Amino acid sequence: MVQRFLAILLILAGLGGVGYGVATATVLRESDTVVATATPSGDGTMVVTEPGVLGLVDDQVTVRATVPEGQKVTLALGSDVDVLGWVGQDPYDSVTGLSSWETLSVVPGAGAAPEGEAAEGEAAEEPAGKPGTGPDPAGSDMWISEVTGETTVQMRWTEQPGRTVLLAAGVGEGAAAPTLEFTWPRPVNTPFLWPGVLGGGFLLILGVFLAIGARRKNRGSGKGRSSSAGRTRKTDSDLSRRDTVFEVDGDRSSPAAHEPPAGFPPALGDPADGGTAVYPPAGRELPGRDRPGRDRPERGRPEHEPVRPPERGLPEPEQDHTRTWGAPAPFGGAAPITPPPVPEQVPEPVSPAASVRGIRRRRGQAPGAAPVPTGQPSAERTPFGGVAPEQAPASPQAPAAARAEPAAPAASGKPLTRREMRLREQAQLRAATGAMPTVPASEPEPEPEPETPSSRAAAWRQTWGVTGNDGGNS
Amino acid sequence: MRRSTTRITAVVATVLATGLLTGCAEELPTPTPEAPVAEAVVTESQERKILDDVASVVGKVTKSSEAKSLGSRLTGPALDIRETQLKVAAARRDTEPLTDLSMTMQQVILPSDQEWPRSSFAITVQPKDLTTPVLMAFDQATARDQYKLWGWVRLLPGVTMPRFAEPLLGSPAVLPDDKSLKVTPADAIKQYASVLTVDKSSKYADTFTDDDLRQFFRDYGKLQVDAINKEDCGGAFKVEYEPTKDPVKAVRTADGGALVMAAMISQETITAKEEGCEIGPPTETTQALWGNTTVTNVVEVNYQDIVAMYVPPKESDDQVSLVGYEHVPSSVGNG
Repeated sequence: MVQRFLAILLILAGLGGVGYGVATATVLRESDTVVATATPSGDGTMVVTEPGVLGLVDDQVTVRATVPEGQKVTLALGSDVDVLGWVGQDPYDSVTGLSSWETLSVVPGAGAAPEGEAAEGEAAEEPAGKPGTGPDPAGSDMWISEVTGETTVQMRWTEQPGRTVLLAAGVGEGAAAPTLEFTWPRPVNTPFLWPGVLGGGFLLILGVFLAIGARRKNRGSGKGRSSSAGRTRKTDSDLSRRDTVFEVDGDRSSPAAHEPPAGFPPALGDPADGGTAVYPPAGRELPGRDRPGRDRPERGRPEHEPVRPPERGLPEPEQDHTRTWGAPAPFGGAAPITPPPVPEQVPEPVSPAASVRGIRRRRGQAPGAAPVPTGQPSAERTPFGGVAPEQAPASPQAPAAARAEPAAPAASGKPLTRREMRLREQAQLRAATGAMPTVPASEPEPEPEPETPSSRAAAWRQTWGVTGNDGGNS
Repeated sequence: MRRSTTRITAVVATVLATGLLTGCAEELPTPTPEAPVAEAVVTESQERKILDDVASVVGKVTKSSEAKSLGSRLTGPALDIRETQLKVAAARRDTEPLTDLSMTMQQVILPSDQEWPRSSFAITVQPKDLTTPVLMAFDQATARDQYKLWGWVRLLPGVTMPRFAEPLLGSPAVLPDDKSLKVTPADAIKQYASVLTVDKSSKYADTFTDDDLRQFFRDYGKLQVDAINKEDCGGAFKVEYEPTKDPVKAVRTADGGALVMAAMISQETITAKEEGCEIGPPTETTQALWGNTTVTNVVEVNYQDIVAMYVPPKESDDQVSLVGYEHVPSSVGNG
């Protein structure tokens, strides 16, 4: 149940993640532009941006200035010194930055404040005398660019080095400071698209796997742990290669055939688990089954472990727990039950399942068991290592050749014929001169040892007189 | 099982929480203005536009009657002199008196001072009439004024101009009373007026190199005197220079000196001392200006002048030297 719940949760989260990721790039994608408005507050007729405001969001900006219908308005770009010099002591509003993504903060011009309390007084009086006569900055030599028009004017600007600022002025009688609207293109990145899709996809897949797992498990529990049967198949096939004994058991058909009598129609009903049907009967016998399984595992271990354990990882750990629980059982009262079935089942179809389980357990136990198997293979390799020493000296001389001979491992172990030796020498020479590197690779029978790390290690050990097997493993 | 469930749940929660939280937070950008740097307050492209505008105004005005429109782009001595030239040209009915003010520049000297007034200078390429290049000075009196041509001089033939800072950096202006120079700009003009007036008799004569203008007056004066003496009329020639009240313009040179430009007025007086002798205006231009004036034994010609000179830094051993001048007759009288 928990697993199913978790699976659903993961699937939902996965879908949500994917959906969110996609949404950030589509529906939720931010606007390609930032549009911010500066509304002048003071009684001046001019608005000046502070240096840096024009390039606030992007190198390119479009500014639109709007004044009451029919009035004249001028936009001019110039260096801050020039613009403030032109504004002089007149009151103005200063655009200092964004107060939100839609609004620009506007404060009374800072330039006039300190030195200009008195001046501001004059300025305030003067405009009062001749209310709102806005001077026109249009046409000054100092402007980088400018535009003048009625009611609304617009200008584009691309960032250039320097402290460029914008001067916007309402012009003429009764002029008012224009309202400015800045539009910047904004590079909209969608940082959550791929993380969302990939992460969501991952969760989704994880959830699906869990769901499948849960489903099988459920089936199994419903019919008597069919899940194990499902896995059993594979193991069976594996087993069949190695153990003739298991081969016999491995034929699921046979167990199925045997068990139909057990009369588990539901199991048969599952198409996929044709083999699984076999187990349901075991399911009944579960208590006994487990034990036989355990018994078998012991047999199986020595034989199977070396090869398999490393391969199987995830699915089994779950079962391991259960089995580990089971394991104690044999010691307990369960054991007595087991013995009887074991003899009977061994010959029969049930036993294969048990044996399989045993294998799985080990795999499940793999964390602990794994090192052992690996140790064995290495032990097997040691013979190569023994051979290696001879060739090892050669390899240092012609390391390039050694690399060039990856194909060798397949041929490994065979002694070199003279012709091969000659070819090899030539190949090495060629490699040394850098000509025809492909040749050595094509060589049919280079030395097997140099390639495998363990053999190299062994060679090294021999060279330096270090004894013992692979340090780590031994 | 439980453990893995918990773990996975934790991971899911973390991923979702991170995603949502980061999704919400996007900081508002704040202005990051470039630091102010020392550079010319007029860019070369701006200067080009200014020059075009000024040249356009000057070029359109070829008649004295149109002189008023010069005011939009000419000021100070330049405006006065141009008006005079237009007047003379009208009197002579040709354009010879008009200095070629086409503004194709070989060098611009841009201001670096942020305050006003601002001044820039420029040197033209050699005009088509093969006269010498012209050094022009432009002035922006206040921020709300335009750059205007303030004055110009024709460079002396073969003169070597001092070096200036790169146009990109701009050259600082030099105050009229700058003490870092051998002579302050204001004093330099006063002293040079003295030198022009009395030549080697001036106590400032040693401060200045001898130059073409001084030599011109020697030659010209001698020519006039000789002409009068030929008639035994007792000829005399006198020239008097005096700075105007126009401010002196000066810009720093690369070596720490200054290029100084200033306006002056001058009057040359030719006299036939012997009784009964009468003399008339000596040159074509003065004749055109003379009009119906009664001929006497005196001819006074008033000039408007602009001189440009290089004033070396204080520690230099060099003398102040003239680099160019403009000497435009504005009126003629009979004393």
